[in-house]
Amino acid sequence: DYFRIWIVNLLLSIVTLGIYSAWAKVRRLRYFYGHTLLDGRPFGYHAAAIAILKGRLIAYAVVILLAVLGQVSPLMASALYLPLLVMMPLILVRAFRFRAANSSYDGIRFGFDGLESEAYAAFLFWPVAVPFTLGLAYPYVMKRQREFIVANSRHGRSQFGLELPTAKVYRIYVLAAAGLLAWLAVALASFLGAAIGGGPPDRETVSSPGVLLAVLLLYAGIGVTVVAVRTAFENLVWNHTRLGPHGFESRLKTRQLLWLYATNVLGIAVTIGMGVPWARIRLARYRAESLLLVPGGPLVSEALAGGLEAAATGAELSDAMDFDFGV
Amino acid sequence: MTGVPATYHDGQTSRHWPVVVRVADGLVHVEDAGTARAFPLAAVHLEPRLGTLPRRLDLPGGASCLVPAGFELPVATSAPQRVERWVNELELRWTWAAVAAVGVLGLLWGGIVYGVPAAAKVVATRMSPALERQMGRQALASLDRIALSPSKLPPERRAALAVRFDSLMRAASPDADYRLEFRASPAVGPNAFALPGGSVVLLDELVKVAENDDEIAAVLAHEIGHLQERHTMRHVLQTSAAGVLVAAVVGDVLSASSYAAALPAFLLDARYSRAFELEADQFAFTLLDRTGVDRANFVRFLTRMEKAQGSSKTPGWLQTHPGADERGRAAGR
Repeated sequence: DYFRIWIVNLLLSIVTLGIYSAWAKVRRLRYFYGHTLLDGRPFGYHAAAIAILKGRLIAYAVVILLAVLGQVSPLMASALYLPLLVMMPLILVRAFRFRAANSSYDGIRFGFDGLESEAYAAFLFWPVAVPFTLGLAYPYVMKRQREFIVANSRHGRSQFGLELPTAKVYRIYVLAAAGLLAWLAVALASFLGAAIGGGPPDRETVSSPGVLLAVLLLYAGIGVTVVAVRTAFENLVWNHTRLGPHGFESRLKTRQLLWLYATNVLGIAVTIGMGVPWARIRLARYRAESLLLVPGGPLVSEALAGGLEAAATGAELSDAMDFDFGV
Repeated sequence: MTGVPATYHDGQTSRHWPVVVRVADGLVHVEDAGTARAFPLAAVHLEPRLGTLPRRLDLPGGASCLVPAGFELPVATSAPQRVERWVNELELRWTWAAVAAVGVLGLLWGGIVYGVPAAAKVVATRMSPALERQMGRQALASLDRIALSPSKLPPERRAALAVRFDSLMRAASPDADYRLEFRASPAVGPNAFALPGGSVVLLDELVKVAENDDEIAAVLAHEIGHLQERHTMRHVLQTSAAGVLVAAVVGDVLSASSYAAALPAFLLDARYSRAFELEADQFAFTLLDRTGVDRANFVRFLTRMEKAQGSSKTPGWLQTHPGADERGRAAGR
C-alpha cells in the first residue's frame, strides 16, 4: 500500500528534479499521521506543500553554496558556517513551530511556544560549553534540549510538560560509557591477539582477519551503544512527559530496535532500496505500539486561537542539514 | 446527492460526533440529529485523496469533518489539486507502481554508472588548478608527517628517473607541468601514487622491486594518466554526488544507522576507483607505445607485485584496484 505511494512519489520527485518532493513529503507525512491512531482517531498533517517547497529551495541554496565554497575556498566556507551556527537556534525554533502548527489531533492543532532566547541557551551556549567540562555536561545538555522542545509544546490549550530527573539521565550515559569501555577492551585484546599472532607488524598484519574482526567488533559495539542510549533516553523522556492530567508510557526495547534496524538494512540492501517503505512502516508501527497514553481524565483539549502561521524554512533547513532527502 | 457519514470536529474543543455530509444547491450541508449547517462550496477545502485514508474537509471557522476517501466535491479544482488527484490515481495501481520502480532503479543505475561520472568529468576539468595544487600540497604534507620518510636513493639515480619522468610527461602533453617526488616508506611498501595538482610520489621500495627502468617508467606512465585525467578530483566529486543520489532514495531510513549507509558508499567508491585504474592503465599503454616501451613491462610488474602481496582473496567488487590478470588482458587488446 505505502510502497505504491512511495515509489510513485519518488519517481515524480526525481523527474521534476526535486520540485515535487515537497508534495511528496506532505503526502508521506499525511500517510503516517493518518495511520497513527490514538483512541481510534487519527492525527492530521496540514502543511502546504508550497511552503515546504520554498523552504527547501532556500535550504538547498544554502547547502550548495556551502559545498561550492568549501571546494573553492575552505576559509570562506568556514566563515559562512559561523553565522549559520549562530542562526541555528532560530532555525530550530521555527522548525519546531512549523511542525507543531501543522499537526493536529481531534481537529485541534498542536503548537510550539519556545522562546528564541531559551533556544540559544539550550542549542548554542550549552553545547559549546560541553568540551570545557570534558564532556561531563553532555547528558545535562541533552536533558535541557529535550525539556525545551517538549515543555514548550501544546495541543490546543493543553500544555505538555517535561522535567527529566538529572540523575536518571546521567545514569544512562554513565552505563553506556562503561559498557563501551569494556567493549573497547575486548576489541583491543582481539586486536593485540591478532598482532602477536601475525608476527611482526608488516603489511600482512594490517589486512589480517583478526584486525578486521577487531574493527568490526568496535563498530558493532558503538552501534549497539548508540541505539541503547537513544532507546533509554526516549523511554525516559516519554515516561516523564505530561499533557495536562495525562501521562505517557514508552516501552521501546533496545533488542527489538536493534533487530528492526538490522533486518531493515538487510531488507533494503537485498531489494536494492525498494524495501525502504517496508522498513519505514515497521519502524513507525513498533514506535507507535510501544507508546501508550496514560489518561488522567477525559481526553479533552481546547483550541487556542491564532498563531497558526509559521514559515517552513526552518524545518526544511534543518532537514537538509541532516540530509533528510527522503520522500 | 445522498449524504455520506462523517465525523465532525468543531475545532474549538476535542469533542467530536457523527454527522452526515451532503452537497446540494452549491452548498455543503453538515447535519446531525439536532442541527443542520450549510457552507458555500467556495468556503470549504477538501484534502487531496491519499489511498484509503479518510479526508479532512475544512469548514469555515476552524471546524472540520473527516469524510470517507471516496467523497468528492462537485467543484472545479485548482491545478495542484488536479495534479494530486492524478498522482493518487497512479498510487492506487500496482502496474504504475511497477513502472515507477523500474523507472527509479533505471535512473539510479544510469545516474551512478553514466550520469555522475560524466558530470564529474565536466566539473573537474573546469576546476581551478590552483585549488588542486593546494589539495595536493596539503595531502603530501600530511603523508610526510604520518607515513613517508625522505628517499635514500642516490642523487644520480633520482636524476635519471626524473629525466625518464620528464620525457614521459612531454610525450603525454606538451603543456603538462608535473613533478616527481621521491620518498621512502617501509610501512606502505612498493608503491607510487599521484596527488592532485600534478605530483607523482615514487617510493624507494618500488624502485627496488622493479627489475628494470622500463617497469618503473610503466608505473610512472600510469600515474601520469591519473594526473592527466584529473582522477582525484573526479573521484571526490563522483563519490559525493553518488552519495547524494543514494541518500535521495534510501534517505532517512539508513541515516538512522549511519554506517549502514557507508556500505553502499564504500562499494560505489571501490567501483569508481577500479574504473579510474583501468582508465589510467589505458592511458599508460598508449603513452608507453608512443615512447617505445613494451607494455608487457607494466603487466609483468603488476603480476610480480600481486604475487609478492599474496594474491588477495577479497572478491573483485570489494577492491579498489582491478586484479593484475584483468589489467593484463586489457593490455593485450
